[in-house]
Amino acid sequence: MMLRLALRLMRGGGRSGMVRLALMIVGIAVGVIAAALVAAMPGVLADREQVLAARAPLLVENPDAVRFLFAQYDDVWRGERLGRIFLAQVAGDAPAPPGLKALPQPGEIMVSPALARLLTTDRDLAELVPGRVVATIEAPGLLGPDELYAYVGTTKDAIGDPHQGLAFGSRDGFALEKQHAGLPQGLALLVLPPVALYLVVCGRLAATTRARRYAALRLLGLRRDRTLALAATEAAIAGGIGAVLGLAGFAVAQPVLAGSGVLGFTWYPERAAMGPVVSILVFIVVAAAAAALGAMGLRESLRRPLSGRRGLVEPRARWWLVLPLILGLGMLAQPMMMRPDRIGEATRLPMPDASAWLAMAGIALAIGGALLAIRPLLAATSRVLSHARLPYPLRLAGRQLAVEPGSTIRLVAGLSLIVLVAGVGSGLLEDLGRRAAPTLTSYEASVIGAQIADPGSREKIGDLPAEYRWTMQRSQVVDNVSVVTEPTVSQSIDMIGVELVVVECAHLRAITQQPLSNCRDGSLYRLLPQHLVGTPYEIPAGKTISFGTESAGPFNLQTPQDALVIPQDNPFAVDTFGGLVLTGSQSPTGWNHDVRMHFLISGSPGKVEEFKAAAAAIAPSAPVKIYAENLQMLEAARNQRGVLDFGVMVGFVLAALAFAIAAVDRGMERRRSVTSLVVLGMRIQAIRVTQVVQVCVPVVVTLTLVMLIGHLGGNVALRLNDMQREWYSGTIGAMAPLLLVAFVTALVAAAMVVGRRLRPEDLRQE
Amino acid sequence: MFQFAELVPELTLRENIALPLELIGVKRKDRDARVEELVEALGLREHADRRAAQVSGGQAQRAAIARGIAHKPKVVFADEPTGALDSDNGKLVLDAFLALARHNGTAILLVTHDHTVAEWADRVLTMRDGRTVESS
Repeated sequence: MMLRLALRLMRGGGRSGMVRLALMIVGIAVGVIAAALVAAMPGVLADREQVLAARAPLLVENPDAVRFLFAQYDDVWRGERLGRIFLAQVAGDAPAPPGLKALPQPGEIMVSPALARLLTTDRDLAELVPGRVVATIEAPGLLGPDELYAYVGTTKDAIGDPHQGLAFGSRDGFALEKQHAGLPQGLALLVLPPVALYLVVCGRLAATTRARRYAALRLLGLRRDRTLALAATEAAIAGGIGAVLGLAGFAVAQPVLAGSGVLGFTWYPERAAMGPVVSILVFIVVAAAAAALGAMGLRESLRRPLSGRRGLVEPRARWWLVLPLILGLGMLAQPMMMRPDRIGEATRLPMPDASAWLAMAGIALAIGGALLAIRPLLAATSRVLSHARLPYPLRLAGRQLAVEPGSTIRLVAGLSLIVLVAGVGSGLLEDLGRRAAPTLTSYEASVIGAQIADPGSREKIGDLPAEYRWTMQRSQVVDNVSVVTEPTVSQSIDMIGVELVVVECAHLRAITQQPLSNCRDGSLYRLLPQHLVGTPYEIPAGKTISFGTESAGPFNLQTPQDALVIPQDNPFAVDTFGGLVLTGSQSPTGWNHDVRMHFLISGSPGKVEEFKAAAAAIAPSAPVKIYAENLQMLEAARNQRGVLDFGVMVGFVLAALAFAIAAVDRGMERRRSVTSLVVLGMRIQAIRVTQVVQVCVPVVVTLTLVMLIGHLGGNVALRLNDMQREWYSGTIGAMAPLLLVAFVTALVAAAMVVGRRLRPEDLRQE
Repeated sequence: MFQFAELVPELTLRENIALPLELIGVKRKDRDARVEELVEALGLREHADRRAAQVSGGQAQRAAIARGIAHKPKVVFADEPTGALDSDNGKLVLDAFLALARHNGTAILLVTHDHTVAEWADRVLTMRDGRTVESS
């Protein structure tokens, strides 16, 4: 009976009732899609971990058990992660990694489909992955369809410093990729609050009309519990239809998202597909939640069905609610007013110091304070607008704002939070991005000789294309030389040895950008950082230091009196406490293979890739380290940017939709009132002005506040990490489009409240 | 004049009554005087500064009538204007209509089911099932 009556009531709502029902169903469906996408993330990440664990080579110490030798490299190639495993089979029964049927033989490569595609167009890349493509890796062995991954078959002699492998698949599980840490939580934080807001708005559509209708049924004699059950049934039907549509939408949207890479990575859609059991559960949960929401709020009107009159009592403005905002803004302003060098000193510490914690607390307090302050700020605004001398559309807007601030605040708060996150987040991401892949005028690269098996190839590395080059070797353990940075750690520093650098004077001058007028090629100098000169921590003259050689015995150098002083901040990758410099281009005869060759490469586009390709052409398995590149941080930055962009976009669209839907609903609720004003002689344009002012004024007030906090918060994030000395305007750039869309949405939504076709007969018809 | 008050709920009764005068550009001083006159005539003195949503149906209906005649129209169409009022308040409304008709020459076209209200009219047309059956 309940179901039949509920269906009858739903169908009998007329055009406006059907529109509201459709809005509610579509709203629930969109909410289900967004929530399901967020819920799918932990599964996707867990799946990535499983793949990582399944393809991790299992090390073995017993030489008899070794099935293959390997060297594994994670590189950055044109901003993408490139994984390579060089393999040499030493036993016929070597197991295949997941996604492959066999291991590649020397001269063969087995690559991911994305890498196979790239290899056809990128000649430099072919140097890093040498060989003939004999197979492509299938889904079980890949993190996603866009992953660049390769198994390179080679001989055991060609691998410089090989590991011994038994099989593939780590038995100990695999640690979560750090760059994905916090991704599901971040996404949930960004998307779920707008989803909740959105669903509440959709669930409360036509709340007044429905409450009146149920009160009428109650007056007719329907028991209170049965009236509530009727309301819950009606909402559950809408929720159920919305859930079905949402599940269908998820089935379409998830593969699109999986392949788009907007979250910073791709995945195979089937890994995040929703099974029938989960789908049924979602259906039940959504329908039940809709039923609970539908019955919620009716209890009061059903308890007193005769009290139909609305109070419209102007809520009291609590001015003290502005205080947290003021306090938060003050805490945020503090780091921006400090002298930049003081901030730099303070935040070079490994852990955030008090001012950093204070600023973080300031961001949190300002955001929370902004939400609390909206009501008193709107009360002040409405008071200004209600002034008797203003035109009546403005006065009317002020009055409406004063007595009905609740719904406006809820919606404006939703929009504002999203914009705010975009502002603060852009500053944080800019910081992370700069640390992950700084845009430099030059990059420093190094190649470790020990990882190049062939001595002939090792010699050629010195000819790689670079602007400047130098070679370094660490001495044997040094005793009785006080080379320390701090007295407390002197013992451990004593144990590691002193760095010897072989470099031409011209190169040294260019790298350090110092005149070094006393530098002559063919001499030995002490290399002293400026801040250690004259302190007990400088390398003393007259000490003998031993260096190893590959074939002969150790050769000894006596530290000279002459010294080259270099500034503390320089791109020269020598220890912070200095070392020895042998000027010239020739390394001492027979240097051992621990030597590191360093190169300074121009920061022009493509130069780094050119260098990597040239190094790979000499020795494909030679790992090239680019100091400015941080693969994990680069991926973390990309993932977090993806999450932020996606979360902000979805959250913003939901908040904007909620705003628009609520505006349409409000338009329907106010249709009689608007019509009566038109009959009295008020022009439609004037009524529209009233609505636009009523909606847009709070939006402007709140968004201005949000812009201020977002700009301050983003700048503080950069300033505290010493990444920016001046004001960073990127936060404004990140927020401006959202602010514009928010304002236009509010404008259009407000204008929509007043329809074009208003007839006096509307006063007599429901 | 509507069967239901249809006042702007966020405005006070005084502001509701003043609204049509403001719409046609009546000066503030004249507007205030006219509003006071109507507030007095329709017995709304005690409730004039309360919001429309906070007053009773009868008070709202009287305010709606005051709003309808505030700008002294040439013709007033009133649909059951006293339907929601008790006899005392109904009399106040009819008095206001009569005063308007006498002093301003306004024609009042009024629909009612109440014979006592009809007795106040100069001319009465009786309708049944949409057809005029009597004229007096």
